[in-house]
Amino acid sequence: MSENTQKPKSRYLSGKEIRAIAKENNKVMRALEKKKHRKAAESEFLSQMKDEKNILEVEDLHSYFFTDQGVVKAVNGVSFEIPQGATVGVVGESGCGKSVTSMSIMRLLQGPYGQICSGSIRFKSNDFKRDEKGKPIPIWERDEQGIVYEPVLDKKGVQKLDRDGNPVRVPKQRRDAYGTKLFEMEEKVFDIAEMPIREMYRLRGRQIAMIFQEPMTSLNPVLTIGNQLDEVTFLHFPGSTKEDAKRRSIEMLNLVGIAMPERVYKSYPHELSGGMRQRVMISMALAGDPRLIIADEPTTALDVTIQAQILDLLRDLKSRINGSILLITHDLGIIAEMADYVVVMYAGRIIEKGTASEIFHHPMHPYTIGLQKSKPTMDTEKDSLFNIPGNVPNPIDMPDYCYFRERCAGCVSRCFGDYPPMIQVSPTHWVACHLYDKENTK
Amino acid sequence: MDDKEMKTESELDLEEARRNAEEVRDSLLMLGDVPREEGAVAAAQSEENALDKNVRLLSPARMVLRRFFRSKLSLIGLVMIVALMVFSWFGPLVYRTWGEIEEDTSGKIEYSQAELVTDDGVTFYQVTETGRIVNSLAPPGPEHFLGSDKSGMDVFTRLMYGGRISLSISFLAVFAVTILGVIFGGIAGYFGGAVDNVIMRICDILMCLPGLPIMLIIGTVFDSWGIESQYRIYLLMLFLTFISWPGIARLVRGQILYLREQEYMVAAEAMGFSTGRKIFKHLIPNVMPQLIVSMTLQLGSMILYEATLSYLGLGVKAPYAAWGTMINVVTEDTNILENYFNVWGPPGICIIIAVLGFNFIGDGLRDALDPKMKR
Amino acid sequence: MSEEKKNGETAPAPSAEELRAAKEAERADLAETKRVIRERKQEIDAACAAKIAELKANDGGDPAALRAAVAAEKKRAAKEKRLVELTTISKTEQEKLAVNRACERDGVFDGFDDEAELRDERRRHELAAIEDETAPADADALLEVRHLKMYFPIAKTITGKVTQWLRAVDDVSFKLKAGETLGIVGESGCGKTTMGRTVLKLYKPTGGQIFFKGEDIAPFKPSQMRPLRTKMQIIFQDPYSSLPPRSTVGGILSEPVLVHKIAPKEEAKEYVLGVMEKCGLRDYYYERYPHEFSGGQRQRICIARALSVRPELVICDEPVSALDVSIQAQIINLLKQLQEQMGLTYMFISHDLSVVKHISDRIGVMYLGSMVEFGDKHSIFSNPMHPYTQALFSAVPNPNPDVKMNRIVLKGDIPSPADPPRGCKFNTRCPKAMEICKHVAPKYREYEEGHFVACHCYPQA
Repeated sequence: MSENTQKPKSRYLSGKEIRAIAKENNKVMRALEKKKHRKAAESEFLSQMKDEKNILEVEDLHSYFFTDQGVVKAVNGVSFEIPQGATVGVVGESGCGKSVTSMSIMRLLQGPYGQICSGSIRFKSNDFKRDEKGKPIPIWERDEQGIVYEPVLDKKGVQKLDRDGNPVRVPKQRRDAYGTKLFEMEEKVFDIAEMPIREMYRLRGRQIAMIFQEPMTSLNPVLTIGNQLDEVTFLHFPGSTKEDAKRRSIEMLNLVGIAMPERVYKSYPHELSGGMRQRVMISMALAGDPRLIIADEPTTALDVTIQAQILDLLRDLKSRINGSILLITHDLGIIAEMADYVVVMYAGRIIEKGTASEIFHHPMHPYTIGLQKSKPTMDTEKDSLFNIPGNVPNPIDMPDYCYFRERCAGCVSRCFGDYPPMIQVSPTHWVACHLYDKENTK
Repeated sequence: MDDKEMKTESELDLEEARRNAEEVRDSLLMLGDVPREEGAVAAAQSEENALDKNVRLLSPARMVLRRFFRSKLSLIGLVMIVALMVFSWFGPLVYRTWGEIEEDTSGKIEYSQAELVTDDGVTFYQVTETGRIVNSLAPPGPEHFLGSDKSGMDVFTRLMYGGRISLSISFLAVFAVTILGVIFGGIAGYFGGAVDNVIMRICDILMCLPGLPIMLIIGTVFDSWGIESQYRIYLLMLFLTFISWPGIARLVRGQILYLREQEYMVAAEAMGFSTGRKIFKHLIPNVMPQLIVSMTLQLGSMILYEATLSYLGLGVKAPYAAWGTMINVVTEDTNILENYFNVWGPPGICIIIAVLGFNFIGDGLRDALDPKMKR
Repeated sequence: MSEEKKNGETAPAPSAEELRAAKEAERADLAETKRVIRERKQEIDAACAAKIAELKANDGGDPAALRAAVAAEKKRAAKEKRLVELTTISKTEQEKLAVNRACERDGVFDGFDDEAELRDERRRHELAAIEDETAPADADALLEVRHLKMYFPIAKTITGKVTQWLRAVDDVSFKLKAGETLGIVGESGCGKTTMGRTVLKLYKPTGGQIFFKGEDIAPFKPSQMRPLRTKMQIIFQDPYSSLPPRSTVGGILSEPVLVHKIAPKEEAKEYVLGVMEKCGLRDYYYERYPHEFSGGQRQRICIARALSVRPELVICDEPVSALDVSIQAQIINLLKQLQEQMGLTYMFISHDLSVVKHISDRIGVMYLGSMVEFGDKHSIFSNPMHPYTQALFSAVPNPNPDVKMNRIVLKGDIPSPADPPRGCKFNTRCPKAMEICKHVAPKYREYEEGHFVACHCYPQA
């Protein structure tokens, strides 16, 4: 009786509620922004890797967006590792938080509304060793007598002479296979979540490179390709001359399989097709010689045959470069081809992770099973597609129980309690589901 | 030994977990495919979950308001304009001490004195009032809050009446300009081709006309025709409308060219809707946001225009009050310009407040209505 | 010239005078041809005018019939003039074509004139279209498309004459029976979206005929199309931009119902709620705005909008490409269910082969505006004949990590449809390209029952 006479709750938030939300949000945002922009000594964000074989360790990452309607917990407790030289694929639908994870690793979240609230991202970086003045230390060519000196040539190619008429000699710096100058390096482990933003320049582009989804709009339309490629070399390899940069850029273009790199070097982005642009993006990512490449849906915007080309290229590169790849996509086929380890995300949390063959041959979580079954493949012949009923829940104000339960075919009474913990099923295979909880099944 | 045992134990644990997991998974797989009949219905029913129904979002209007009020500048602008409007329209109803053109004749009294001596030796003095001098240029005080001007009229009251004229004329003019602009811009944008060409060339020609010189000429013409000063300002604003609508027309046309290609317009075509319906029910409502923004910004410039016209003596003529007319007094007497700021300063300040207010509101609205801005 | 080539000798390089003389001769020849064409056209015009005068003289007093007769006569005369233009070929042109034919026969392609071949091909297409114009429509096909052309002008001279066309849809013909689903596959730039919209008369076709239920709707004006719009509907690719942002769901869905008087005003809301339920939308969505929904739900709203007018033909233009995998499955199941319930015919356009395989009965593969392969689903999937189809099939990533991908990777990028390659449009990327493919376009022929291919790998005769 009383329910009938009660006024139904309006669909829209009232003014008071909006103000309360805004007040809460502002408080948290201000604190986090201050932390982002603080001046910190290096010791504050140095850390240690738990497993030396890993190049990136994400532990309990929480990235939230503070919107007018509430807090969107885009990444809600995500932990995974990327071993050196391995390819990790992150699978999930739109809204599951995979793009936000990659943005958090690069600290590219749109502030002040997007913030990393807690957690740590440990990255093993290979940075320049700096001397007391903060400049990188070059590696000189040495032979039996000591440092090799070379004469200096001016613009016309004539040897420069000093005041006494003797040729000027400077120490010769060692160069790598592409002709870029070498400096002394040292390994350091940074905690990216703790770093102030201004320190990220050390990592972005140089240690961690990113390939974006839209090749059409990721390149600057008013600069030539060569200009944009050289920029990477200038920024990350100090002391490079224009010739060094050009040589390296042409080499990079060759590496990604572009025929006639000289012509592409001189052209503008609008003169290239989508597939070519994506190759250029990949070569820009490789130019910095990164240890980790984050590929955010690199083939989604491309046609099927071009996608095949790019996937071939990525597979080829995997064996040639000695870096790791974090591949983010929603296409299970690409993951099956490229990835060594797979991480399945749903609504901001990881629900399953393991090696590729484990995930594909022994999927555990009902969502993963449903995902595989609902994708129509070329070999299957079915009357009706299996589908996971319902939708991904709205990410605002997410509660703390397993929010897949309404759509889950195997929902049990235990699911109405807390969120299930990550349960280990094999040395590399973890699931977050109450069905596999030992106490439950026992 | 201990270590080894522990290792094997954890390995055994894993093995068991693996086996259990396999069992569970098999039972899951046996649940099988969702039968076809229930495909769509199941999807629909499972949306009746607590999560979906409880989500409450902002209505579109509230979203715009929220973004508008987020910016402090827009709030200040809104306050300024509302204050001016209340001042102009409700002020005279409250403060009735002086009329608009009432001259304060509380100044000195001119009199002539006549003496009359009678036979008894009594002297009668006859004082005849010959005239009253206007209390012109009185300093600000309790009687005249802002003092009085040269003709003895109260500056404060005239400020209020002047506000009425300035604000109402601006609103009227902007309204008229918008209507004309929407009609012509809409036709040009929607039909394209020759119609578009013709209308745009008309716009080009009208935009080339020099506004102020023509209005000076028209002012003189009005003078010679002896048109009453009260109507002059309306006629002049009519002319102003005539040369301002091309700006709005261009804006509307551009918006319509963009909106026409949106997919929901193609969908409307595929639905078989008539042209009229497509224009009025689908295109125009989506042009409104941009239009509102430009209207608000135009209000500011209209006020300036009206003030300029009045200052040049083309608009509202003395003794009626308009902000521009009140400033006009400085041209007559440099003494006033130098020494009596209270006569010409306040109208100027009011104009500044009005224009700034409209500009702030316009900026705030533009940011609030822009769908692409990330908050 | 080919005689000399046969002997293995190379002809001596022509001198400048000889070149000039040859050019002169060519110009004279062209002028002569133009004159002949002009004369014949004038003859036709005269005959037409005479006929019209005769009609007017014998006027039976019915102005409408007279007008119709005059219009028909004018159309016939225009067609005749066009035939004259197409069939009258200058001598130099004929020589070039003879050279081409000889090259084709011998298999040696030096001296082959690509441009002349292209012109000849277009002439032949148009002649075929004109010939087929008079043939009656197929009675049991709901939709029949004959020689459909959709060209967009890219470059114009100052006078307005078009110098370069974008040939988005270039001579496409197929039939669609009631109740079946035709899947159109191809990548970007192949013209499948343009074709879908042209069939619906959202673009004005440049040429060809579109028979809907036996009636040629290609020459229809927008006012004539309006009553037909309820019978043919379209579902767009992008659910985010195909819904007007400022109307509620109820408003969007009831508008076509009220405009076309599908249900009376009082019952409109009931009817709309019924349609919503069929599409899996809850009734409390009626007052909500599109921006509150996810992609899958918005696509359902679009489907509901298309179905609310009770169509017979629905063109699905990549309806699931912008959605996630699990939502894709839901929407595809929904579409299939609705097809059964309401007896719809689908033209399903997509670039995703696995989806197309699941939902279609017949499949057409398009490349740069032309149909390269067409046939029954089973025969295409068991025996893809065209190299492009084979490459498309192998390019789909298989979600099984153990399967070794034996992938055919095509080299190069998709050429721009504004300037397609000469000869077979696919020759620049085809792994099986032969010399002839670079010069002569293959003919679109039927090889098995209902299985059409256009490829030089198969006999052309």
